[in-house]
Amino acid sequence: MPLVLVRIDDRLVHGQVVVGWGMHLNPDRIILSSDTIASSPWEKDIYMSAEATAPYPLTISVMSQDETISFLNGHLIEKEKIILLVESPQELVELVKKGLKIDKVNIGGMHYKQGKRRLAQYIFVDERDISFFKELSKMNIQLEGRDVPSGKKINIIDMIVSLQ
Amino acid sequence: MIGGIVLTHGKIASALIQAAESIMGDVNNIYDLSTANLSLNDINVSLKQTIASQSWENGTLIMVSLMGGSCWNAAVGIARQQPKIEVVSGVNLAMLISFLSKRDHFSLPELAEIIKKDGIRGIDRPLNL
Repeated sequence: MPLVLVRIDDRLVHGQVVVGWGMHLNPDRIILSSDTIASSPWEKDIYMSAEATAPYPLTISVMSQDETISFLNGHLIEKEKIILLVESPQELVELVKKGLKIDKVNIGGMHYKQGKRRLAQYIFVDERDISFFKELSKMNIQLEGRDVPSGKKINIIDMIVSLQ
Repeated sequence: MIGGIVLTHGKIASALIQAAESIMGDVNNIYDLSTANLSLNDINVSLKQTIASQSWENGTLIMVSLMGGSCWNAAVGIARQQPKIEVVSGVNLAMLISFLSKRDHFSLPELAEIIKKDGIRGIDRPLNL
């Protein structure tokens, strides 16, 4: 299983992922899967600059959703340990519908926006987020909130039930 | 005037500016921002608001804590979109003091290069222990 972590984080590639989770999991590669960022060369550059900060050898790849699926289905990556990052639950649902096979997702950052309700200090949701979470759960994907490896684990589905 | 923004994880920015004040006395045209508990979009908004509200005629220098962190990602994004903005990572007290003491004497790109070097010069180890 080359995917060592699948994470929803609206800050995408940043310190908590590269240093916090990276030191814990020692990935060879972080894939940032986003159609919008993959089509913007300068935004790609920004996220790739974390390669220089990582305290271990790291490749950062920015891929569109289709590129992500074909890369993960390819044979080249068998030996690699990979962290897959997406910005929102919606994007993860889209990837799963395109053929991504996962059994667990880490929710690491869905920061406050107007009209969203708090599940944790770093997780805020609206009705759309909740429906995407439920959709992932129905596909037998376990949803765990945790910002950094040493952080408290949060069962997202339990939290949603208590919110409603 | 070249304006300064220190944008960091946690409370580093406000603590660094306080420390610089304790060394240099009152400082002005320097603002602290934290990425704590904010989305990338909200970090962008607070950066843009700070820059727009001040209209520093000679530009803005953003000092961030970690290259590749969300402070860096936001600052570089804005520097790509707006003119007269420079970004330097790895802010430390030596860099901040360099910025506050030299900003009236150089252009923005020169100052960015100088404070980068001064920040690095502030990191060393004693020889012959």
